[in-house]
Amino acid sequence: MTQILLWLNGFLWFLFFYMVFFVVPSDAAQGVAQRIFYFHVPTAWVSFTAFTVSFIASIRYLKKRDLQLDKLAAAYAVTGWIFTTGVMITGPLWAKPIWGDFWNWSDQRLMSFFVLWLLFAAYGLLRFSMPDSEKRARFSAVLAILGFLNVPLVYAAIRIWNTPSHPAAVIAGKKGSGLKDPTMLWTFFIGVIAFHFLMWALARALKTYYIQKSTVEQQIWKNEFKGE
Amino acid sequence: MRKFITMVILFSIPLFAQDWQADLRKENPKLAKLLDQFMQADTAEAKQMLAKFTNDDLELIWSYYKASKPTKEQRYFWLIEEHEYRKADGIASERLKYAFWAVLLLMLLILVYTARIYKSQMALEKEIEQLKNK
Repeated sequence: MTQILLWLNGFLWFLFFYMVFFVVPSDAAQGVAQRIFYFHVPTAWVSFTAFTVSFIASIRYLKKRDLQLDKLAAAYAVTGWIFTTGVMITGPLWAKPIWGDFWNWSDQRLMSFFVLWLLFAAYGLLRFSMPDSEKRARFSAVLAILGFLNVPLVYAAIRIWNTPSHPAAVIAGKKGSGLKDPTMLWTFFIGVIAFHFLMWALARALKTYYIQKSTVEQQIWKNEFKGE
Repeated sequence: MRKFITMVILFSIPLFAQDWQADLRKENPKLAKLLDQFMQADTAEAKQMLAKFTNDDLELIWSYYKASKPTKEQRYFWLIEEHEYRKADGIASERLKYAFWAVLLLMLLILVYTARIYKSQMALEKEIEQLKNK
């Protein structure tokens, strides 16, 4: 089953790249720079999904105190952070040719996303700096929950504050927003599915690694204890 | 008499303009209507309306407008077209450069992250092997 999903993911990526660079029409106002959109927005959506999984797993960890759930939450939070870093790279590179600047400090969508990136960067540092697994799991679960609370704010930022610089929402936005061309819409959704598959595969691999690593550490600890 | 001739020339300019628009109206009434709206709109609204014109629309308007002008003015159009072409070429290559870097860096980031997970997993499996052999 995993093998089939991986092949399907490969096919989706091929189709996605083909559509972005050979099929989809150029935007009338932004030209070729608008094609960054097909990478930028799905990457942001994927990070939101990853943080949502991490949020649910963290709540469940605090209830059940099962370290497997902590590993699941950590794998999705770290993978989500990698994708937010991707958004932080593609966003300014899209903004520069369109706005004339890499960043707009007064844009609420940008700033709320930056805060989200910082929160999950702190999550990674927290896990890296705490050797005690129980304490680390408890603290990082709380931080993942707090960090997730920023996700709805990022999502709603362009709807609440009516940011002039940031483009309008793709879905459920105001009048005149969204993708008009069906090819654009198809390409976008293929991108969203392809990025989700990729995120799932990476988070799954990382979770397996975390679980195996903790088993090995426990084994080493047991061996040392026996040796004494 | 001189004043009269000047007045005739001045008044004939909008008449010439009407001519090409009348031809356009015959060929594509929908586009002519859009062009009328564009001409009557205020500056901000007109700028927003630019995206409504398709490439074919712009080509049609431009060729009708050019054809209505005397041969001497055609040379000015050449200069304008050359200027616009160079400017658009510069903007397009600038945009392409940023699009290229955005996609490349994103893919590199994902690749490095995947390679890091793979490397850590390989190191861990080596460690497991060593533990089994002990």
